[in-house]
Amino acid sequence: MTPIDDNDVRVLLDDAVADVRPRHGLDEIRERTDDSRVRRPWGWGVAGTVVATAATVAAVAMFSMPSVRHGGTGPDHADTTPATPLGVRVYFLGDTAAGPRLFQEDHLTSSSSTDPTLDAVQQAVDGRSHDPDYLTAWPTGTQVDRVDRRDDYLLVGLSGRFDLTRRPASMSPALARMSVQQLIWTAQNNGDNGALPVLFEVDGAVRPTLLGVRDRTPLQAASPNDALAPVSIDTPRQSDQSSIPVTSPFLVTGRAAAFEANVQWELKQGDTVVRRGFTTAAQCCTLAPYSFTVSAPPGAYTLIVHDEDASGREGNGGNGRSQDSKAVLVH
Amino acid sequence: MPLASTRLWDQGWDADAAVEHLYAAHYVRLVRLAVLLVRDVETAEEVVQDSFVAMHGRWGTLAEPDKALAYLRRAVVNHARSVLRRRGVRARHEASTPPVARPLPGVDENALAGERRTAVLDALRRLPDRQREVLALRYYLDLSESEIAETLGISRGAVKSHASRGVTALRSLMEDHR
Repeated sequence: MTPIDDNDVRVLLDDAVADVRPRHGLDEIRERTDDSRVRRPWGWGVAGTVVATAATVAAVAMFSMPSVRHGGTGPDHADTTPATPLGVRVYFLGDTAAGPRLFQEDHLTSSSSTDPTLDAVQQAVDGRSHDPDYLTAWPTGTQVDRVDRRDDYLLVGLSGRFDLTRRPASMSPALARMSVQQLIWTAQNNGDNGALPVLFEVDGAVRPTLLGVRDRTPLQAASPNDALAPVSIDTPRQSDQSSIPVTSPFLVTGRAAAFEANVQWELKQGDTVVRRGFTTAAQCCTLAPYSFTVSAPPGAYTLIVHDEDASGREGNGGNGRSQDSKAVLVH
Repeated sequence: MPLASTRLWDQGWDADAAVEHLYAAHYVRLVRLAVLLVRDVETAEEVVQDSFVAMHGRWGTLAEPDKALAYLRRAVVNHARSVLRRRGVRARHEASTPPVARPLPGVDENALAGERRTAVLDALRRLPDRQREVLALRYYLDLSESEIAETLGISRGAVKSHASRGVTALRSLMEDHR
């Protein structure tokens, strides 16, 4: 058919796309336009294991997605003595009032590692966190094959037993996006990679999607306020999976994006609050540093730092609190 | 296209409601418009979803409700052009990576089936950006010259000129196809 007049062109173009039946896209749009709503992206309502350790006594939300692996249980970690360990920064996922967000930890590379960035990204994928509250949502067996630095982007090669291009049914779009961000943030914060965007390969080639997240061009890191947890504890710093040894008084530092910059904390033994207090972050409503000092008699405690429960203002059912917690052992 | 959403503002709907209403009324047609611009369905969906997200963010400043749809159209065209430009990076990467025979998942092969449809979409891709955009807005969305001029930020004279050249080029490319 040769277009001759206007009407022919009209028919031609109409016909060319008449069979296009887009997939339902409203949920994706809603997820992306609604960062304030409390979501339960980890397979909410699905029966599953509940993570419960001493350090998670007061965790705001438990995770029930079966494929989510508990941090700190990765193989080869506890017994590994790196020959020439290097410090790397690794990001893990945790649940917050804003949905899944990233928490950072400082780790050492494994003894067999020749590429610190690749090692860090693999630790992120495996969920080898020190803090048992932190998690990974990457399917079991996901392998980081390579991290190559190109002129204007980083190439991260992944492979696995499952189809990594697709988002598992039990994984929300928000969780998939944050899992991709987990690897971008980890790749960018090691090996002097700066803010280079990241292009992912699956099984040796760039695919249209990674966990259902588009991957057509190198992906940028989300902003700190969009990617990082609203409340996190930097020190006392956890260096392995055991309680953090401290001497009283000890300094607590971290970052919070809290309403009116109000940061609250509790030191608990079991369900008993032994100490409590509050401080003010350097700025309101955007991630800003906070610090305070805690004095306590010797003993094992859980330190919890949190923002105010926003549920009263937003009517979201009392799940509006974001927090981080650490198990500490006061000598 | 019919705009059933002209009373959104009067009804005091917020950005979320606006997205839902405009999605219901226009999503499919906008994705099809984007397919004419970027060729594959998956990218087209992303382009349109990006546009809805952008529209949501601007809802407070869109003074009149029908401007929301005009904004969406403009966003789709701009995002599509941006995607085509950014594909350069990926093309460079693929040039150094052997192609994998496995078909890309998620691409609706049925939607793109049909020799003529494929030929039309291929021909559109070979047109200069402006000609492709003008043809899609004029002959698929049936926008007036002034609406197209406003959407693309060009003069009505330029719209006429791009349309005329675009039709001629499309005719020529389709003749090649025969």
